[in-house]
Amino acid sequence: MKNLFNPDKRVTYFLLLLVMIIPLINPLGIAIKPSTNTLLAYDYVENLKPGSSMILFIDYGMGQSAELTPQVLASLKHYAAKGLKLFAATQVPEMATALTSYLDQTYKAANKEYGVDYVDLGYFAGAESAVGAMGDSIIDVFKADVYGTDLTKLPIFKDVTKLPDIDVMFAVTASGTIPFIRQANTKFGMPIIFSVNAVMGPANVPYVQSGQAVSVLVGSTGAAEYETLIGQPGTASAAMDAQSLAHLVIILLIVWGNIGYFMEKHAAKHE
Amino acid sequence: MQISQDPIVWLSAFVTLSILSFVFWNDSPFYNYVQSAYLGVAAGVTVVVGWSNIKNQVITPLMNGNYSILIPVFLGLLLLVRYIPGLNWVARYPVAVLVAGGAGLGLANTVQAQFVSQIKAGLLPLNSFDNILMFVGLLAVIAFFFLTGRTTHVMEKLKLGWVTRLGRIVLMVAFGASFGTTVMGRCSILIGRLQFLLTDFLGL
Repeated sequence: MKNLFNPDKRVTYFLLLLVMIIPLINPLGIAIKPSTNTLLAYDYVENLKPGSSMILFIDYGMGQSAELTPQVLASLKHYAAKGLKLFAATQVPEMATALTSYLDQTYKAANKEYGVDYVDLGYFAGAESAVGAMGDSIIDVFKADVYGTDLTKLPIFKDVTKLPDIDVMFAVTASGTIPFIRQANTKFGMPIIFSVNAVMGPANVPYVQSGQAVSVLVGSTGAAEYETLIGQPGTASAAMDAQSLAHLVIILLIVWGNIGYFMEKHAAKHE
Repeated sequence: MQISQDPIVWLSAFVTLSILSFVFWNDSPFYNYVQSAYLGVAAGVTVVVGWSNIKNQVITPLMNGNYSILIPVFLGLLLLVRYIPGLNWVARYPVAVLVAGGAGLGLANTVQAQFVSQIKAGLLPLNSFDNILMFVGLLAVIAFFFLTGRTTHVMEKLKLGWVTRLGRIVLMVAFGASFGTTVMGRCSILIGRLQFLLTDFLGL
């Protein structure tokens, strides 16, 4: 009886793997309904005029890529379709190459012109201090793009020299939203769309209510909802069936464990 | 099913399966090898990106005659002095500059960003069920943290102990939501790798 309610952890992992793999091979087609938060981000971008500017900050490592990259790709596809000018940078060294690949899959694939419609600023050191310094001059912080081109020679910098010149910030982070709020929203009133990993979701959604963020897209669910809104289902949408089934199994396991706990307690009482 | 012919995909699949092997066999040689290789590759990438940063931020400006860049370079080099016995105290100066700069930059907006705005957002008009629930929850949680010790004793005497107990329940609900989304995040990471194995590698 004890083993039945407290199985080897490998049994639990195997069960979870099974319920994840089956829907990935045979999708169940569970409907994805966009949440208020995702709608807020989507509608905000929809209402921007073509030619508006957006700055993207990638602030997560490869470990969070499965969760956050689908959000980046879905959002960038939307921004490219809306004709937003994009300034992209990362504060994580290992993500510099990944950032170039994201821009290739979205802006370049949408036939946007490099240096005119978008620019890859690559990695920057200094975290919050650097974001603060961008408030005075983006050109002074980066000096050159990822290919070594002097930023003053790129047409995209004709009307944009500092952070407040840009219309919206899209910060994809797994480390914290506060540095961006402090240096961009509090200082310049800059609207920010956040994309965070699921762990950070509940702690950061209050920033939407306080008006310090336009929206907070949370985890792969947020990505799947965004993919649904732009009408381009991607990896996140495909993962939602597996995600739902995995959650169901986890809930059943918690209930199962609790039944075992109370039965054991009951048995001990009557011994 | 069409298994990939791309050696990079095979390498990625090997790395993924080696890491996942930890779940079933704990410390396997494959897991240890891949873990060390990952650290090595990450360090290599960081060095390359760091060098490109030095090139853009230091060497190019110096070549263009911007000698003021030598001040932060000098401070940066002082950080390395900590490895020289007897002179390691010198490294405290650049650390002091870094801490002071960071604190000054952060503190200037912290009060507005993390206190004033959040307090304002908590003062909601009590015209909907959501707002009432949020306001009552906020008060109960504040009561849980402040009404401790002697004050709690007074609260119990006034038959108001339920407020702090409600605060504890609200906190538990919040922690539950955090735990739920943490599980979701971990599942997403695993699903991401399974998608890669099933589609990119096995071609299903």
